[in-house]
Amino acid sequence: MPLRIERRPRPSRAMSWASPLIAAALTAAVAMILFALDGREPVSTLWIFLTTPLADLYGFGELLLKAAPLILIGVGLAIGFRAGVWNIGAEGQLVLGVIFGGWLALEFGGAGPWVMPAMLLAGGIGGALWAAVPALLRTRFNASEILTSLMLNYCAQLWLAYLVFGPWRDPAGFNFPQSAPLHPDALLPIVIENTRANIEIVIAVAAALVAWIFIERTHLGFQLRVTGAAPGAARYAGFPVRRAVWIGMLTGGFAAGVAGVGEIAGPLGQIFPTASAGYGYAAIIVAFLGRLHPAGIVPAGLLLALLAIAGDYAQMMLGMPSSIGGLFQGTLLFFLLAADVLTTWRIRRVEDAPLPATEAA
Amino acid sequence: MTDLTRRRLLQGAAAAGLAAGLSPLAARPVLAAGEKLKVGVIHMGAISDTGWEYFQAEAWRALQEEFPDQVEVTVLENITQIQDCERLFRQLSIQGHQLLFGTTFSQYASLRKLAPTLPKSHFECCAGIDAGPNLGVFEARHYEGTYLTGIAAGRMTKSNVLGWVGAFPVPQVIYSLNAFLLGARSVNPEATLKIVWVNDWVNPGKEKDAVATLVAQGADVISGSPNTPVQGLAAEEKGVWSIGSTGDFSAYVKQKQLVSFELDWSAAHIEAAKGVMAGTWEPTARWRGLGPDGFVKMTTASPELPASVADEMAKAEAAIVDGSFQIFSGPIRDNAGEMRVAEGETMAPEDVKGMTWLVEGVEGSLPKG
Repeated sequence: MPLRIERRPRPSRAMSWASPLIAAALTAAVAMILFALDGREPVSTLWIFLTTPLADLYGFGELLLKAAPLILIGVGLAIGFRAGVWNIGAEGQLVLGVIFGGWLALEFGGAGPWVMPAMLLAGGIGGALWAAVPALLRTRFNASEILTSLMLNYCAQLWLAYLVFGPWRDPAGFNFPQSAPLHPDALLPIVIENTRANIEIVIAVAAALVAWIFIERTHLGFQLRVTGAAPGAARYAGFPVRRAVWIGMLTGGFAAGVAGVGEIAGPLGQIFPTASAGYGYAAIIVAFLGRLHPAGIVPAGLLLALLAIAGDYAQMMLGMPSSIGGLFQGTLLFFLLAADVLTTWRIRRVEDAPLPATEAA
Repeated sequence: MTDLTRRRLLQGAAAAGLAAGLSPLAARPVLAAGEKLKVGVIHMGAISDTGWEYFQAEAWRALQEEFPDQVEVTVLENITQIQDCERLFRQLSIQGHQLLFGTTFSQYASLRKLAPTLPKSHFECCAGIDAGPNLGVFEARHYEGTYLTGIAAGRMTKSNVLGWVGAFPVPQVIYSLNAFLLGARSVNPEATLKIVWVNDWVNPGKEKDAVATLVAQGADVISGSPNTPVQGLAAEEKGVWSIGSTGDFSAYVKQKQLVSFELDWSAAHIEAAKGVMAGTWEPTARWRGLGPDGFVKMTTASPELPASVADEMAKAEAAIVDGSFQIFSGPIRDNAGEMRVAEGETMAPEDVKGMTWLVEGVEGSLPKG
């Protein structure tokens, strides 16, 4: 009895939420096969791999620290993605947050407790301004925002390198490319004592809540969703597509810029040319793993952060190469995309009766 | 490591053991009988077959060889994000590693914060600026190696133009290239040095272009601070000499590598481990060049290097090691003609570490930051 793949009459909601779980289960299976091939006991190794990073409160704090920028950027991007706006430039927008927030910290660090919130705001504005460039090019000249936003990542990176190698270099730093340490006023407060988890995780979760209400409960959010899901219908209903592009790009840019400040005012405490840890790209995976829904993006961000941290610990505890974490991230995305096929398609058994088309021929 | 150093180290270990036995209050061994010293190393880059991280790895390998039954080493590589290194050092400490090594300057700021908060472990950072609470640092006097290779370059150049592929204009690079020309001029006062700045530690494309530019300007001996054989290979292609400066690439650059020196951090690791085992470890700043237990080792020389030149290098090396000769002793003028070190004076180590001027005979200027 042959099987056939056919399009579902409408995308399956159940399948849409099940596919990340299927992908996670298959990734765990691949991990266990790899461990077994390496001559290890698969189940206990996987257990060690996933739980060691969380063995103590500090480890939990590290997970929150790593997940915060992923969630924050993921939520920002998801609003754009829902509206059909493909912002691939979060990495560059994050770097602009580093530049704007960093400038404020170096210029006004020590001027008072207002510096830190002002940095977050400045970073967000910097990121949004950077995202405004592809938004303008798209709405004015219909240039693909995928390409323009991606290319601006490299420009942002070079701009930051110029600043840190040049005017911002620490005079006491033996000419090494790094700024002077930021003033304590310019650092984010720690939310769990004796860990490095700072207020950014609170901001990220709050952003997820706000985004949820905005997307699901407001008229503007509804317009964005319709624009993304059915552009023709949106135009027919008179929803301005340009406005969707602007809102989508600017929210993504703002969130990424805030996350950039979170790095220099958080775990780094200094501005380095490599201030970004690739969160702008990883957050794209987080957004899709979380089904472009704030409630999904929070656990997705935690999962990706866990895999990244676990990869480093695998080197330490299991003597495996650190790239194992990246490998599992890639495997997860691969299975997610594969399982997503079943959201819009389904597999059906076909009766043995000859097909009418062949008969006619 | 030569037999001489090994013997010295064993003697040192015996002395330390004796001291511990005689005055149990002065030293407090941290290891119980039969317990192993757990050492952790975090490499920022990948340990490859040559270059900076490779020499770092050679050091803990030497440590394992020195104490096969007493030391256990945990190694992490490719921890490129500074955000991650603090967590991993802390984790290694919690797991009971009593001695932890960072391999690059980039980790120094994190370690400076972290070391005082983890008193059960002791920390050492290569290329760190200065020792701090519970944090020792060690760095090589690269310039002693470049001075000796400069002697060879000064003797072998026909055009009297030497070339330097500059990574970054940091003091470590500036004092290296200055000493290179001082070495060359000690045997050939006509020698000059041209620099091309690449602004990268590893960038094969730009390094290759830099070598071509230098050769086009008449340079016939090329040096720099290469992490890969690419500069040497590019020089060989152009038919000019190259120097294996902080890396012996003779396995790749088969014809035209003139002389080479390497960085050997074995003594840094072994001494720190011994100190921790004996309970006598103190955070210190170790800045060493040539000589026994030093961090700079002369390695191979081309068979085409005349014996007379090798002899000159050996004499200079002996004088540097026994302290009868100081490289940065006057008179030294900078390349704008200003007297920087007067006759009879010697630069203080802090001034060498912060050097931001080029010696007379270097053509060009430092890129403005």
